[in-house]
Amino acid sequence: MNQKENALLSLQGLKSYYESRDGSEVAAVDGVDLELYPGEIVGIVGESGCGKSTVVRALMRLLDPSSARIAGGKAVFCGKDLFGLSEREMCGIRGKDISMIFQDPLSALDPVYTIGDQIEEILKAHEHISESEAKEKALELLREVNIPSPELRLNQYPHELSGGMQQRVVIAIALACRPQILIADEPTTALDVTVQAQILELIRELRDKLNIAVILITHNMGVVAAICDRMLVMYGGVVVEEGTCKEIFKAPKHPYTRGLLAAIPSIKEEKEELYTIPGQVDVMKVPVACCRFYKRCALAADICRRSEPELKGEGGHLCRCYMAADGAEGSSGGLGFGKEALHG
Amino acid sequence: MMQRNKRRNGRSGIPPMILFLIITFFIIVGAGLLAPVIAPVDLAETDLTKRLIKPSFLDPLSPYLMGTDNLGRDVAVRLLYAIRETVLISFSGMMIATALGTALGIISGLSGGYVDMAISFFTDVRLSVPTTFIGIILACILGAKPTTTVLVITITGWSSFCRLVRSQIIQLKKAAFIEASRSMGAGGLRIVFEHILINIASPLIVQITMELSGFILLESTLSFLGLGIEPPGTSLGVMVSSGRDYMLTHWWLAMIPSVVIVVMILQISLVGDWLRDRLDPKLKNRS
Repeated sequence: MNQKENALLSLQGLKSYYESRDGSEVAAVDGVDLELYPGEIVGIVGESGCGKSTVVRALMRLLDPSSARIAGGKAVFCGKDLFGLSEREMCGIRGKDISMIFQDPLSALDPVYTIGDQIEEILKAHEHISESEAKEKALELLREVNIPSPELRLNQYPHELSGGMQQRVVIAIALACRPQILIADEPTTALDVTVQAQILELIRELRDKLNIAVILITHNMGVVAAICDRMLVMYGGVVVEEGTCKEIFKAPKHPYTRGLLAAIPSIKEEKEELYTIPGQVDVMKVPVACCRFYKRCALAADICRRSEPELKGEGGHLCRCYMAADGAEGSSGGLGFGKEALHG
Repeated sequence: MMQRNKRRNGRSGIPPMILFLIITFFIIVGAGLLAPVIAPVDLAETDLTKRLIKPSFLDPLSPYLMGTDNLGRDVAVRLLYAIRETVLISFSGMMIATALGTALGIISGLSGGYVDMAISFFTDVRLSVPTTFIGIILACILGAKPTTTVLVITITGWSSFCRLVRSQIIQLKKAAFIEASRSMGAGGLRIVFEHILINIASPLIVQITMELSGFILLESTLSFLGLGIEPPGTSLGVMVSSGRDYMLTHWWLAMIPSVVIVVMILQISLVGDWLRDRLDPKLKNRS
């Protein structure tokens, strides 16, 4: 694979540790590799606390320095290591080359400025343009994200818009400077289902139009299935399974992924109870020397307790498990596993 | 504090009541500041033959609008000079205290750690010492003069601004839109000035108006106690203080400056209250 050369962004062994109250360090992200190519949407999936948000915050260097640190790894963007840049250079990259949108659009917008002001702010921060040009461009951006009567919206305050509209504004701001990478941290979690679909559709549309790469963080498998090309399943700070969405949905390998898929309620099948993965995400104190999932895993064997499996596989479908099921088992295998875990 | 949620009946613009308050406030302050132009007199000049003449609103034959004081000086003229002195002192004190308190609050809120602990400690120390006590000590060391009063206002005033700004910043620092703004490439200073300061502007302005009335009172208190302006100079507090001896027989001597103090404080507080509503974007455009 010589693809590595033309990757837009490549994370190599990214580690980010949080300091816990007793002074020991907890690995929120413990060695994550990720390659991102222009025009693709990569989903990072996992339950709360698995480190998915920390990955992108670390790569944007937005972690709170008083509690978290980047403990290792590289983030190479266009030949530059982001972790080696000065804060000033990093400011020039954030918003211009790599943009980010957040979960709750209302709180991501400054309440005291109008929509227009906030779009113009980022334009003026990264480009030398005049007041009237900025206004013109802001209007254009609002049209691009399909906001009705954009002239009116320019002079409105964030709280005057609906949630879906606010998220559109946030996307307009994020895309104002034509970034190459858009990071979406749970962009639809705070929205209701119909609006979710619209926002996802908008993200896909803009990806097609602008050929940007998108990292989409979510805990919702449905969202991943809807728009992602590739996906990373994270657990306990590491990637446990990686591959194209098609492959993973068809033949999940890691027990955790299979559990996640089994937990999606289906209308075709009548279930007495919804499947849940027993237990909760464990706190990962470094160094970790076992499979991170073994306490919750129905397939856990002795070897899982003794050493951590490698992320390996063929044809880009990687899995971090000693007990990895063969692809042939299919998605029904995943569900079968689910019942087993529930009743056993 | 004032929790009344006033609904403005006008769609936009300034309601007539507030406009009236603002205009009258500027008339009072303007007349005070222009006192040396309107009535150029020597404040030390006395005329005992004309002492304690009734004001014309009590005695229509009196040539003096507000009567004369115990040394035969025109109360109306002295009132102008008193307003001038009080306004100059309390406004300059307010500005220095606000600037100092806000700056310390920003430093404290943003840096956290030991710097924050040290500044918060000094804020608490300052708040635990009574204001008048600080005034007395400083007046003893530096003597009773206008600059001393400004200094007292500064020293006593900064702490409440510092506390307010610090708490607001700690709250805002974690706000999602600050992180969003950082993720869009805004640098530290831009965030402080364009996002944090603007967002704390409305509580700060309300605090300023509240403190300002307190500062006017403080100036008057110190002068009343003889720690601020000394005769023949005058301020509202000095006038109340010297009029106090004649309270039973010539009540207007103390009453007139007192009324001016009350009116000015009311004007500032009511306008501040209105401003707070006005500056809150959530209440804007609401009829």
